[in-house]
Amino acid sequence: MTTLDVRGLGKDYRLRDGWHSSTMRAVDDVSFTLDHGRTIALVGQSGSGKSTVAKLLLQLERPTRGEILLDGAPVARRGAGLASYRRTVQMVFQDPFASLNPYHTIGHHLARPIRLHHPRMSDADVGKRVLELLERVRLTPAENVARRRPHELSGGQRQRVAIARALAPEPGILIADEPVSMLDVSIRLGVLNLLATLQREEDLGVSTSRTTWRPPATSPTRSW
Amino acid sequence: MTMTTELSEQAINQNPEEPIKVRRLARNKKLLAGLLIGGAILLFGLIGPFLTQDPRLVNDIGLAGPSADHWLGTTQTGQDVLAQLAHGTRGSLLVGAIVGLLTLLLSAFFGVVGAYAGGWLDELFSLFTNVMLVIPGLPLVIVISSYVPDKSIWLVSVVLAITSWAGSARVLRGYTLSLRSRDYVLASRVAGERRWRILTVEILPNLIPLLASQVVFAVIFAILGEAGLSYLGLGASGSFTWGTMLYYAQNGLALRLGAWWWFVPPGLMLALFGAALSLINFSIDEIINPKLRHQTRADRKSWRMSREQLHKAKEATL
Repeated sequence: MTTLDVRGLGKDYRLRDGWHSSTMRAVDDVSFTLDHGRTIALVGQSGSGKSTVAKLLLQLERPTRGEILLDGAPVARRGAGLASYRRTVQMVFQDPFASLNPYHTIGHHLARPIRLHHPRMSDADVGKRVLELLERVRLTPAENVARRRPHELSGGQRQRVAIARALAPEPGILIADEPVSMLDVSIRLGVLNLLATLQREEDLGVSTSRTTWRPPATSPTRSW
Repeated sequence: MTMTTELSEQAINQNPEEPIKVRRLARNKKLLAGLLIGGAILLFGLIGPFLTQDPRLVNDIGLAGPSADHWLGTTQTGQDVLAQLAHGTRGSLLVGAIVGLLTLLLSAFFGVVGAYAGGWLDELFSLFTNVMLVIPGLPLVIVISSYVPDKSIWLVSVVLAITSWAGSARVLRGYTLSLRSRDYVLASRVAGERRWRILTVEILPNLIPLLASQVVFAVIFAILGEAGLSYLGLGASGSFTWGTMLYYAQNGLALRLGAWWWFVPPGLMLALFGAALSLINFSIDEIINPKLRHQTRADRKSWRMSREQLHKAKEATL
């Protein structure tokens, strides 16, 4: 039962050009409510601030105005409060080729968030949980995938790994920043269906963002 | 859709074990040659001094050519050149090691930590780096040598390190700035990793190839720099390096007297060791940047069609 409330959110960036500085308004007065089991899609053209909203929701940037409320309480900026927020709200990044560290194995990527949110879990249990997560995003055989490094996987497989990582702390809310824009058209549907299935299985609130696009007259329009 | 997933799953099953990287590295001829030459010189510097005579022992056979007693002949005062070369190798390698280590520590601290922390700390560190970058090494050593009459090899190394770390700190800073805003660093922040852990586990491993090549470059620079200083008579007093050997050979008029066994060995060692480290550095570059791998002339020639293929192609088009 998680609700994320966004009220009058705004973000200004200060641009410095030598001695002069100007402000750039990236996000202005955004309000919405994200409920468990529901999907909210942010739609806008490129540069309209969708990714900035995602970063603000994830506490990667500080909002200039407005507030973000989780179950009615303001979000903590540091310490245990922030850690528990991170357990509840997770993110899938836009570019699956950039969001996995080329140096580490897939298993490491999934084990870290599990360890961070369950410090007392034994090594064997963490390993079991990693395989479970991989199977949940349909990456089988899981033992095999866990040993690989990101460059050995395709874009769609990497995005599944990124989704599995976001699911590792068992969040109530998943924020996906254009999760399929970097993927091949043939793989997009698979990833979107996966997200929809996971949402039903876990009663997850999902917020996705998407650039507007004008499809060719013959093709059907999907609203994601 | 189903076909693509099946195919990719097959690709996963095909190759379960990671290919052994050591074998691929061994095929890299540059790296192999560099490691062989560098390793041989390193061994000589480590073991040689225990097997040779006292390099300071004065004898009454001055400027004698190579013989059974003195494999590389003697200097003007009858000291054994082979013994001096062994001790000189040890001295030069010591300088290289000290400067390499100090450069690694200083450039990693001021380059990586500053860039990762950001804000005023980054500004401060980068200002300090830029100031250090413009301090010229040679005049600084000349000034120091006029104050300190008895310079040890450590002092010379520290001075060389202080004047040489700034360049690689700047390179590291630039690369760290690009790494810290990558998505996988943001992702680990979202996962709730601590800052120092992000720096050491997520960022630092990706910097290792760059750090390695910077250190190798610093070692070359230090050994050549020390040789230059010693040759000018500004080096460490009372110790043996390749540079001091060349300095004494020059003072003893070795070149004019035709005593090649006195100045050729240290000069050759310098050139060989520099070449070996450069070869290692090039192959590290190739590992970081795979684009460089196929840029040798032989590689490019191998892409062409062979004579028979050309002939066949011509016949086919006629």
